[in-house]
This record gives sequence, C-alpha cells and structure tokens, in this order.
Amino acid sequence: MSDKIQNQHLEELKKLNDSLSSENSKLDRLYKDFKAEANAVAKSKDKVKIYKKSIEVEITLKEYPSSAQGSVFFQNAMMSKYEAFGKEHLEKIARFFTFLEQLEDHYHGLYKTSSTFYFKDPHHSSIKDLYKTHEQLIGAYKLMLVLIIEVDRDQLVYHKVFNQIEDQGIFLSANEKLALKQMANISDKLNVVIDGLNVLIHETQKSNELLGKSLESISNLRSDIDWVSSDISNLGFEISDMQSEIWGLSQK
Amino acid sequence: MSKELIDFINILLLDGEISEKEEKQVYEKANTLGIPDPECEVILESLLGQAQKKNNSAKSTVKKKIPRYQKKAALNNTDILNQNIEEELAKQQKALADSKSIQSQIDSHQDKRHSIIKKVEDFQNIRDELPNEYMRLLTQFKSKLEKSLGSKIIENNEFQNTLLYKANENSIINYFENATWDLSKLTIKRKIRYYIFTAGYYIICGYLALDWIWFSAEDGGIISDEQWMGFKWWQILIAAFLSAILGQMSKEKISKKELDFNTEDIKKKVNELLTDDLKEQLKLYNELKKELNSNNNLKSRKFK
Repeated sequence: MSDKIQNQHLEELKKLNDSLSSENSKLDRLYKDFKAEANAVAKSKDKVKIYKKSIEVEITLKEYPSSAQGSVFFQNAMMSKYEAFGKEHLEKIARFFTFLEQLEDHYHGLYKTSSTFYFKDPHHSSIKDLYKTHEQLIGAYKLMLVLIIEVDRDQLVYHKVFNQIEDQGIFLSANEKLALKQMANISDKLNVVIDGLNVLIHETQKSNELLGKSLESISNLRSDIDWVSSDISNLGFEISDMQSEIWGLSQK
Repeated sequence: MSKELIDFINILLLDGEISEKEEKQVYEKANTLGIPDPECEVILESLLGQAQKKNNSAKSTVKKKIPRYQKKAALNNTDILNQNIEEELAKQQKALADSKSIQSQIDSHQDKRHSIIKKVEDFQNIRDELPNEYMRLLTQFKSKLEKSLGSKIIENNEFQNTLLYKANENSIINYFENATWDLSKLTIKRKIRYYIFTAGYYIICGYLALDWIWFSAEDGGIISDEQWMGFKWWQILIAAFLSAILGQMSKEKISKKELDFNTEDIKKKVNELLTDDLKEQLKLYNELKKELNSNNNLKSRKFK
C-alpha cells in the first residue's frame, strides 16, 4: 500500500470515527434521558401506590373509632352480676379489666399517631399496630361478653373461657404487668386464648342466637352507626346500639 | 319461642334496667315471635324483678360509669390524595409520551450508527495487513542497524511486542540501547582484525628472523643499513610491535566478551538510519492503528 492511499484511508477512518463518536454521544444522552423518564414513571407509580394506600388507610381510620370504650360498658354491665362471679373470680377479672383499659389507651394512642402519619407515610408502624390492637380489642371484648353473659347462665362455657384466660397468665398482678412492654406479651397470649376459644365461641353463637348476634356485631365493629347513645340504660335495645356503646363514637 | 325472648330480655337487662324504648322493643320482638302481649308482660316483669333484686345492693353503692368519648381527628384528605394521584398519573402520561419520542430518536441514531459501522468494516483488509507492513519496516531498520554496528540482537518476541505500533524515535532508540547484543556474532569482525594484526606481526617478525639468519654483507637485510620496501629496519620493528599489541588487544576483548560500541554509538546509528520518511511512515501506521483501535472501541460500545 502506498503512503498516499494509506493517508486517504486514515483521513476516511478519522471521519468515520468522528461520526461514530458523535452518534455514540447522542445515543448516550438519549439513553440517559430515557432512563430518567423511566425512573420518573417508576417514582410516580410508587407515589400513586402510597397515595392509594393513604386513602385506604383513611377509609379504615374513618371506620375505626378514635377511642375504645368497651371496658366502661362491660364494667357497667357487670354491676348487676357481681355476686354471680364470686370474689376470687372477680379479682381476676378486675385484672383483665386493667389489661383491657391499657389496651384501649394503647389503641387511642395508636389511633392518634396513625391519624397524624397516614397521609405522608401510610406504611407507618403505628398503623399496622393499630390494626393488630383493634383485632385484639375485639377478641378481648368477645371474651368479656361471653364471661358476663354466661356467668349466671351456662357455667360450663363461662369456666372454659375463664380457665383459658387464666392458663395463659392474662390475669396477672399489677407488678407483673409492665405497661406496654409486658402488654405485647399479654396481647400475644390473648391471641392464643381467642384462637383456642374460636370453636367454643362459634358453638355459643349457634346455640344462643342473641349472643351470637352480639358477638357477630362486635366482630364487625364500625363507628359509622347511625344511632348513637351514651346512655347505658339503652343498651341492648338493638344490637347496633351495643356496638355504639362498646366503642363510643367520636362524632358525638 | 319464649326462650329467645328471655335471652333477648336478659341481654337488655345486663345493666339491670329496661328503658321505655327497650320495653317497646321487647313487645315488638314478642309479636314477631308470636307471643301474646300478656304473656310477654309476665315474662318481662318476672325477669325485671329478678334483675332488680340482684342489682339492689350494687346499685345503691356503685355509680355507673359514663364513657368519655374522644373527638375524632378530621380525616378528610381523600380529595387531596385523589388530586395528587391525578397529578401523578398526568406526569406518568407525559413521561411515557416523552419516552416514546426519545425511543424513536434512539432508533434513528442507532440506524445511522449501524451504517457507519458497516462502512468501517471495509477497512478490514487494512486492519489485517497493517501489522505485517509495520513489522516489515521495523525488520528492515533492525537489519541495517545490526549491519552498521557489526553485531546482532538476540532475537526474542520483545522486538514485536515492544515496538509494534509504538515505534517513534525515542522508543526505537530506547529499545536498541537496552537490547541484548550477541557477542559471538560480534567477534567475527574483531577476529578478522585480530588475525590481520597477528598475521602482520608474525610476518614481520619472521622476515626479521630470516633476515637475521641469512645476514651477510653482500645480501644486506633489514637490520643492515639497506632499506626494505622503503622502510628502515627499526621502523619495521616498531610496526611489528604495534601489530602484536593491537592483535593482543583484540584477542583480550574477545576473551572478555566486551562490545566495541556503546549506547551513544547505538543512538548515533539509530538517528542516522531513522530517516524522516521512515518516521513519517511509522507515524502513519501508528495513527492508522490508533484510529482502528478507537473504531473498535466505538463499535463495541454498549448502551444501557
């Protein structure tokens, strides 16, 4: 190859390389832009997911009462039955009440926190805890309702429930209950009791239609009930009234 | 039938009382169960009596608790959140439209790029031949240098590896300065020199000896006053001594395996042999190779 031809080749090659380099640069920039757009879409999708979740949480929070008042209702309901319980059982059930009140306070705190955070962070830990506490409260209310109703009726059911609660150590003394730290453990034990008694409660529901309805209504506790009354004397007028009484309504 | 009514009343009586409203509900419930009002009244009064009896003691001392209702936080962000979702969806639409536009630009530039790469492929023969051309030039240069220095470089792959596409004035000088020269090849030239000097010494010495033996007044001889080839006897004797010394020096250098040229000599020779034309040619090859390499990199570029 002569030098002249080689020089020509070199020039041509340089030009092609320049063009190729320019195309590469353009493609680089375009791919970068494309990636940025894809990232923007992905981020936006994540945001939409969060917003949707926030709406979902808001709907749930609207359905949930801001505070739980079941312990007040059950305390009033027990007044007429103190003798039926007996002193020993009453002492233990009083501890269960304390636990219930703590759980209700915890629920109220979680509700307040969740109401503050759900807008920006619908995955906030307080929301998950709120759902869990809500379930636990429902379970505890079920147990309490069975205890109160069956104490002077079906003793066998009453003792089954009582023994289960006792076996799991939920009737702890004040010293043994170290507020929330302990409460988590007690709550777990409560779940064990509820799970263990599910069959029994189900059977009770079948055999006692009214109790069944009461339990069912507790299971479906919502705060959007039309009829609201704070008067304990109206309790039992309708099943829905009981719901309102147990939970209490913030709208009032 | 009445059992259900009794259960119903018992639930109402959990608090120990029956309000007017609840009483009305009891009668309604009794009607739905087909229980006549008088019978319902008897059941109600009986159960109420029992409940009141039980409650008397408790009611007199314990006050009923009243629930403390908490005000619920205003949870009315759904509209704002829905609005945010709408905004984000609009952003997504815009981003997707932009992405489509970018994608079409990418396709167009990729096509251009492929056409350039195709043109570059025509240079494949140059790519194949260039190393040979390059080595041919370098080998020629090396041979000239070895010839002019009267020695040879011990061959190894370094020559190709070190100089191929990197040959400029400095790298060439550097390579030959640091190269290992073959001493056994070097001796041929020097051996000749040694033999010539040594032969000269012996020839002269032999002649002097013969001249001494057959010295006679008539024949003369080199030791005599008579001149030999125009030189006096003592001049010839000095030449014999010099030849002997130079021959001996060559012999010693051979035995010590010493080179009779140094790095300065190599540098000088390389500069002499490295003509401008050769430099230009090497530069051209280097640039061609550089462009071909650069092209390889540009071609193999991956986009993510």
